[in-house]
Amino acid sequence: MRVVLFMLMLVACACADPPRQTDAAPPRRAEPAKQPAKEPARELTTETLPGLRPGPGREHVIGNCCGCHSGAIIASNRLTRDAWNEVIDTMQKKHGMHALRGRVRRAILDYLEAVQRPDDPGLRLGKASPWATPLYRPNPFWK
Amino acid sequence: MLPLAGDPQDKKSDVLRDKRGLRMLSDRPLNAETPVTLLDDDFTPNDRFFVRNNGRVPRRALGQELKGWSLTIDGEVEKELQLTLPAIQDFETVERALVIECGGNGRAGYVPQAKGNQWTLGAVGCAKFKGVRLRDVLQRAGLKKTATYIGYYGEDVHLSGDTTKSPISRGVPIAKAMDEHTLLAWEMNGVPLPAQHGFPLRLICPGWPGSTSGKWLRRIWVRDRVHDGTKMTGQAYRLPKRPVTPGTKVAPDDMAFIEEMPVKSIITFPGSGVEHRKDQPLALRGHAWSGSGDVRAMHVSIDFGQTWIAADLKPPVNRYAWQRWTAAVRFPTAGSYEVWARATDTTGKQQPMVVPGWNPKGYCNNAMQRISIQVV
Repeated sequence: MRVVLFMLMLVACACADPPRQTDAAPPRRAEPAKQPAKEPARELTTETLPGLRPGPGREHVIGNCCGCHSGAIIASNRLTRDAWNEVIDTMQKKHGMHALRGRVRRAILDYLEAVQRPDDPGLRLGKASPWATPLYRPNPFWK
Repeated sequence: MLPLAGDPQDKKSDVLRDKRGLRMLSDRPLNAETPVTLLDDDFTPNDRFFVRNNGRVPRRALGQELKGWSLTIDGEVEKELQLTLPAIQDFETVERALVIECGGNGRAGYVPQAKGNQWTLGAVGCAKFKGVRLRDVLQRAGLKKTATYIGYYGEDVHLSGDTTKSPISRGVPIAKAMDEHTLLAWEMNGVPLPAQHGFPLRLICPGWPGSTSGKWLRRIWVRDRVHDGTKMTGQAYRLPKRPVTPGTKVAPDDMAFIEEMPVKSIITFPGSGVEHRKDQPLALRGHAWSGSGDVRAMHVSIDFGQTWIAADLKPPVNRYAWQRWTAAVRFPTAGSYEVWARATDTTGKQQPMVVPGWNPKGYCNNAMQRISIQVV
């Protein structure tokens, strides 16, 4: 039991990286650099990965999803509740995910619908990869 | 289900000692793209080449251990082959600079957001590979008349740890497999394939989505039908047969495999956001490539596409390598400008100005790159 708890803690730690940037950060383009824009040659670390945002039900995502893959792929996708439901179906049909109790699946979907819902990616992208701005504009024909 | 203790892939800090400056999208599985300014080299060095993994890197690759490895060629062949690396190296060796681009490169641009890794510009690289033609190996095995498709299997391990599952097992039609440019490669930029790039042997299907270029190969199965391994079914690597409005649900039967990637280019110098003095021309450079293996023209614009300036475009060192382009532009006034870069392929198709038609999995966004320049 202690081993199980310890393992769960390890998994929780792996998914619990805090987000690197907040929505309060100003857009980078408002202050153009005087020096040529240079990418810092950092070593790759997990500190820069997007982490799972706080919200009710987050622990169900960590416990049921992060055993196989990290939280980063979840935190970088923004989908409707229906689309997230299909993602869970795919995990179960194709990738060996275990069955979920009804209330657990609902708790996971509630969390994802709350914190990983569709938004305007144009605003977000500049923070994640400033060297890719001003590349993307929202599709004006999106209904 | 949980990662094994002591696995080097699961260290919290310093996940990859041998990569510099890449933007990591995910650690399990490892996915990391290259900032465009770090793709400025004529050929992408190993420590700058993007990584797209679907599962766990095999221990053999991490340890660069060849013992016990062989490649099986079986299925619709006259003679099944089991080849060690020296046996493969006995075929005629070729060295080629080849572009490998993820099918989802640019996915981040789609609105509404498409499912998957949110690559922006850097899921692409062009390295020098050494290997043999898959064609020569398949001819040694002798293809039966029923040979229609190939499917590859690698040593990478499914994230769940279930050894009966493949993280990825894709393939291509037999014509592409038999194309003289399709390689089995063991060397990348003069050294054995690094662990992340498929040691000891990988497939390279140039011009097609990177997922057709399987890593950590153990088997090529010659099949009498379209391969149906992992990431060959459903919507994986398929585009809608007819254009759809953004956000539409599309049935897999209404979709078709991506084959040749569309024409594309990047600006590798300068980076976006630089300041530039008006009295000097601005020197720009980058690369261009296409799934058909040749780019015909390259243009840049400083006025949002109203007028275009022809760039100097070099020929590729061999087919399916990317092509270097350079241009020098003068700005009429000080101010805030955008520079756009547009490649044209040999059929006359250009990169679109905006993100092209939405598709459910966000593939093939080959929209022009745009950078901002502050002219003072």
